[in-house]
Amino acid sequence: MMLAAFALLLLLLGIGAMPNGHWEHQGTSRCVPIPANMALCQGLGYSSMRMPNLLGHESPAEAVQQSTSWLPLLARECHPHARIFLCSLFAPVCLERIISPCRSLCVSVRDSCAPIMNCYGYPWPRILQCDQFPKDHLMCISSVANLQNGTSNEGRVVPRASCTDCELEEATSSKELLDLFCKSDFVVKVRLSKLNSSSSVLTMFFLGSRLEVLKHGPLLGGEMRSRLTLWLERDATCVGNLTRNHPNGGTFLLTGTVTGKRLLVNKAFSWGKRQRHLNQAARKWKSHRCRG
Amino acid sequence: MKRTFPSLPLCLLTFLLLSQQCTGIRWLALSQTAQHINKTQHCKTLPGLVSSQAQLCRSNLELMQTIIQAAREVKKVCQKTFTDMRWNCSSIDGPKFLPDLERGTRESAFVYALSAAAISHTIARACTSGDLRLCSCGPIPGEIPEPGYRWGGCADNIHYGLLMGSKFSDAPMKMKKKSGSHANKLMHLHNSEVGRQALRDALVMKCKCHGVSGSCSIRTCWRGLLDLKDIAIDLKTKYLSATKVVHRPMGTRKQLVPKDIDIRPVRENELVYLQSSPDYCMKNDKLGSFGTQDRQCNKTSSGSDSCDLMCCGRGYNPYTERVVERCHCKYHWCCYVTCKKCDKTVEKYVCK
Repeated sequence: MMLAAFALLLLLLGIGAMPNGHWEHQGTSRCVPIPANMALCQGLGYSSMRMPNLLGHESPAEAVQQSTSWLPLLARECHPHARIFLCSLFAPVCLERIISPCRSLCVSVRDSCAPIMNCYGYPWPRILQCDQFPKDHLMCISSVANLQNGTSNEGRVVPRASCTDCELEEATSSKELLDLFCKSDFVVKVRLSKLNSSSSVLTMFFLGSRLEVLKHGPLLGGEMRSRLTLWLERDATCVGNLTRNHPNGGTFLLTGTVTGKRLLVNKAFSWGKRQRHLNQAARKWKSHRCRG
Repeated sequence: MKRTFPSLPLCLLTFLLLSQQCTGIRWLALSQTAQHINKTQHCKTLPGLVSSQAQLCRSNLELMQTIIQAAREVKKVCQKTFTDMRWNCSSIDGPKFLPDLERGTRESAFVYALSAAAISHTIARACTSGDLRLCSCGPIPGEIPEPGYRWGGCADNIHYGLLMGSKFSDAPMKMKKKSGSHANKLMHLHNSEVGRQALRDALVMKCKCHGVSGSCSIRTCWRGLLDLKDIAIDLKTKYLSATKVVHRPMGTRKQLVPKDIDIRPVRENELVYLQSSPDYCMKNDKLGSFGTQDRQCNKTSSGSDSCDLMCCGRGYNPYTERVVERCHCKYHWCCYVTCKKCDKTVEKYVCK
């Protein structure tokens, strides 16, 4: 059901009628500002792009329209350089010559992200076939080049692909909850409040000031908040799942795993009034000993 | 007394003949126009226009910038297409033309066809890009697309391009002055139509993937024109196989018919010429030949740019040239390119 809804969302994104006026003809290339509504490619370090781009889109509107269907994939953070790779094609940097991604970058992103796309029934698309990109040389965008310049991915482990999205669960017993707490890397009780004016396309909620951490796991004291803030910004699918029945926000118990510096929420519970099992488990957790 | 008197009408006659013969493509002189045409008074000062073209200029002022662009395209594309030939389109600037384009040669046939194609092509593209507000996208085809395909985008408006382009470029050939150059007019009109037919043939289906996440589940298609350089290459093929014709009575009118072939009408898609061309080996102002002395040639080629053919067997001189070029370029994230400078010695060859 959730997968079908997600696929439907993608379909709606993909099938947009392209108004005639937006089409421009291919001729010489030109530099245009990256449109403000091109969420895929904001904040990459450059603000203008080459048009037509490397995917043959003739107008900024066309590029924006086709780029929106990639946002859910990025929300899964399937690869740390997925955005750099996609934007090198959708919004290529405007220099005197064409800068394309290297084949190694494409292969790396594809190997991490294609399994995620397959979860939703989409194969790696023909327009992104890695054979078309040059083997690594100095004039293409490679993963190594980014690492050397110290972007925000020092030593980051490329995450293992997973089809699982977080789900809002129903607590059935405190025993099951305690078992879940033991298996999870972290357990935290948070309040999510809806933003009145959304300055960002992706973030709709913000984190309440009080965090009740039941289990820190590998995260240090102050890291929990920053990791949760990052999760809130990037995992739009998970946040959407939690807040589908709580459009104005609410209090939730979040459990999940930590990989490197990335926090992944796997299961969550709505913490409302008369949540007997949640309260019971929280109390018992203080003196609970996990097996093994 | 007798000597001076007959020379006067002869000069007049010569002037009229020359004037008639070369007016057809004099509008190519617009390629040198730096002025932006936004007032009807500017139409009077434009070089190379006949009166009906000046009138079109005044009534379609918006169109003139596109036509100037077309003239520039003709020069650029022609010289690029013939860069490997002895005749290389050097004299295309106008408004005065050398005999290679004045006489009804094979070369003039190509230039007339390319000019007719270029002006219609440039106008059609200007409709698509929005540079011309007089027109818009071409029509959406009436046929229902296959499953997974849909019509979209902005088709090149070839209909408007052909309409306005031919109105402008054919205007000199359709003036009603009676003169002895009817054969040349017929030739130019025919070759211009060949160029426009090449343009119609260059309207092809173009498609793009617009499915979800880059898939090709939905393809958006439109009718677009090939680039002008592709059309020029097609016309060059026709140039190489052009047919010599004569002006001969057929029925009640005189028409152009192939000279050395069996009796048949001229085909719609073949370029025709009335005068044989020189070999363009030696400089000859009377024939409009620049000659190939000091032209660069390709020692390793076996085509028309080879040293043997380009130099007409006269031989060639090698020389070396030092070239400084950028090398070891590197892209830095984010976002700039650095290069080093490399010296390089290249050997070149010029015809004796």
